[in-house]
Amino acid sequence: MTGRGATVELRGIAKSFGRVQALCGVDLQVAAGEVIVVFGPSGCGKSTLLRCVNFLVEPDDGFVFIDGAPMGRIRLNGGTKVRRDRERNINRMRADIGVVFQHFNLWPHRTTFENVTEGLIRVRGMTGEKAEARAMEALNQVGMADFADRLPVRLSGGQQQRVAIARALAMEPKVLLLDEPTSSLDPILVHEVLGAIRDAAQQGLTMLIVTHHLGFARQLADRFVFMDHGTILEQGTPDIVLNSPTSDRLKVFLSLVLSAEASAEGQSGTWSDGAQTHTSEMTP
Amino acid sequence: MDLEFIKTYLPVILDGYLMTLSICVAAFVLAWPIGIAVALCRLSRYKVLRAMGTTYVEVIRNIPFAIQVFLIFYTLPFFGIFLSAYGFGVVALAIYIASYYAELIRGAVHSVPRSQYESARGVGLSYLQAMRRVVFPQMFGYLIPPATNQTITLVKESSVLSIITVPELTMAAHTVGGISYSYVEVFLMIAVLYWVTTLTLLAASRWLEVVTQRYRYLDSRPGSRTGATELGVEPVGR
Repeated sequence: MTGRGATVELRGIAKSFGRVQALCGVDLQVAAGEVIVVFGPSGCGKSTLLRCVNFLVEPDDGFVFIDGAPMGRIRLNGGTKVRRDRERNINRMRADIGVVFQHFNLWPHRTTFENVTEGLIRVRGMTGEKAEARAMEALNQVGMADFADRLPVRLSGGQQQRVAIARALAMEPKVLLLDEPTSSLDPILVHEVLGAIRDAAQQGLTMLIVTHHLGFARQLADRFVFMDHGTILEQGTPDIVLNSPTSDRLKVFLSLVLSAEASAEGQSGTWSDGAQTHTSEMTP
Repeated sequence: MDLEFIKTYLPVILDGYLMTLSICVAAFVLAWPIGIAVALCRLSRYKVLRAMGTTYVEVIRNIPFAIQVFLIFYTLPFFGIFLSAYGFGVVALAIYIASYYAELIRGAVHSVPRSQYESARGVGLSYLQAMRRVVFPQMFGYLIPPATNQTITLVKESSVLSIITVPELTMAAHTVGGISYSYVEVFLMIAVLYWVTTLTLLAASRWLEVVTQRYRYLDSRPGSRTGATELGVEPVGR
């Protein structure tokens, strides 16, 4: 299942919440199947940027194009006037964009299985049997098939996040958005979730990942994007961004992340060490 | 109070009681759809709908029910509209209580974490689907306790309809009192009836709370895919 990713293009995305300008005209072009890791200090606008992609946050200005089709906002007759797209179109486009949240956001009143089938039946219009087969396949992929009948309250954080990933993947999205998918998990649980994300990345869908786990992310990412104060400050291949940062903000940020990781792991790390600790050494 | 008195007038009182029950059930059934619709208006993205919802709630709940009923019922004939007291009473009571239900629903919806709504929309569910399938099922824990209060009020406020000649329990008591001059006895009787009715309601509400909140505490039975089915203990969260 390769080559089913969509292109994502962000053009001049701006968004403020009251007086706070979260995004100030962000441009970003993502090729089909590309894996982008977005990082930066808290409040830099990275989560907002991700949410603009599937229109959960509606930009004040600018456009998002998924495979060339505008998401949510439509320019009228090539002019300056913009209208909100029809709800139906937005829903249809959202179905092709999977999203995974920091706090999993599984529906607690539904079993694991029902969490996955809901979108398949209600949005994709599948029959029960077809949805069941697809759901079990997706749950299998993340190693959660045995927990199909459990309610989310009975799952660990890592298991919940894997179910959330299965819920997103079952819809066969073209784009997968991951908003700090491992930030509320302990290191062992992080490990199992990262495995599920790596599998997803190998399927060839376009991915935008907001994360602080840079060591792991560099193995996965085609491109690192560093954001600060609502703009993209630097971007490039992981090696370039991590090893030869040009802006002071990124240099400071990286040194802080590095020292934090080093003290957490009890070793003075370089970036390759950081990568190691997140993969081989961290077995449950 | 002697037994002979109860025996003589019980049929009249029971007739009134049945009427009260019928009013309450009908108004209850009618009030929920109105309440949900008004709540959805108040939660809407659209300004016009929000304004309509707010106007409804703030007009209806800020004027005493007795005065609304009296004013409207006795002025309608001047506009050539003649309604049965029963029908008017039921609708009026439903509209009145619905304004409270709407506010309770709105509050309960806000109490369900917004992230639940977002993950539903993120999958591609429409606004109404997200509300119906994801948000509403989770709001009952926040909705049932205050809604029970409000429903008890509904039962009690139904007595107000005696002022527009609906032959319900309070009206029946007045009638019996007028004939027998035993006002204290008969009002004691109907007080007990109202009390028993609201207690029954309370039991029903407890049951409903347990049923709708099971998912917070229980695992599903192995092999079933439809959610929590068996009783257990082991509270999780909350």
